[in-house]
Amino acid sequence: MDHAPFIWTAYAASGLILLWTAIAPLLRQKRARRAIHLLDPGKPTNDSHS
Amino acid sequence: MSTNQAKKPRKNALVLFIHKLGSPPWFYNFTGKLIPWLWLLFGVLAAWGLYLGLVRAPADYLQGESFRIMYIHVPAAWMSMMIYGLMAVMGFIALVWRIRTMEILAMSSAPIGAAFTLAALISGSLWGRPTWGTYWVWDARLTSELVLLFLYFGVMSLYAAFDEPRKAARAAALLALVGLINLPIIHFSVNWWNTLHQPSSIGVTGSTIHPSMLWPLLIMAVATKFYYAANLLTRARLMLLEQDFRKSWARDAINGVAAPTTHGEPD
Repeated sequence: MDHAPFIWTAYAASGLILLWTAIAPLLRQKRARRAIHLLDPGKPTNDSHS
Repeated sequence: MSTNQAKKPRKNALVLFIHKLGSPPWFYNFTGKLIPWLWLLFGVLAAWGLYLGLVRAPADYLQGESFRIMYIHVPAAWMSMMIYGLMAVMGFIALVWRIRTMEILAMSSAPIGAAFTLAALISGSLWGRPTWGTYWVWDARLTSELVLLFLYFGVMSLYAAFDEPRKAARAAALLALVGLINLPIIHFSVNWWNTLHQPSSIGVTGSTIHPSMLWPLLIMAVATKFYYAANLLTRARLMLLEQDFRKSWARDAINGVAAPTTHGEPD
């Protein structure tokens, strides 16, 4: 039995799950920053805190 | 030295640090500086561990190449249990001492723990097919790990079910504490019942794995700790911003205004 498909699928699936878990809060943070900025539009947003 | 100065108790550095962590603006700024370094350490260690595990380590004499799934499956499974334990401890601290950053850290841990549990289940299933001849069996280890995933989902759902975040965190922390009972069941399941899953190869007294295969595993185990820390702090900062968006410190943080150097009282 060729084991390569099992190995690569395991790494690809785990990698995607962990990648999404890392990226999801960053996308949510962008939306939150935009929403907070709308409440206080007088000042420019600065993404250095992200 | 005046009498007043002599009477004033000195806080030790650790207590002072914990006290500071309770202050949202201080926590937000401190963790903001820490996160890039944690991601960098994770990236370097994961690249090194995967290179050693997938390229340099020899094939297993019994399982052949399929054993290489171990370098993602085992660290993910360890993390799934460690994160649950930490979430319950932080939840306990939040319940007893009502420290809001602890509530936030506990609740931010749940999705990361769920992700590691899912990764462990999927990679384990893909390892099971060439090794056992099946993707899934309802044995004690696999089933208790699946229960862990449902516990994470339960904590996340309960937290999302309340409008008031502090009340939600307390209810979810209580559920996390009850679910702690599952951790020893997962760990000892391979000893208590007959299962297809192999018993632990690494214990306090040593390991049965050859060093050329063991080192990549240990490096990956450390790498996943940095992943958790970086992801946890990113999520905790976001949760703080979302909860405090009407407060001046949150708006200042968003608008790039320097945060106060002094810290407030923990809330």
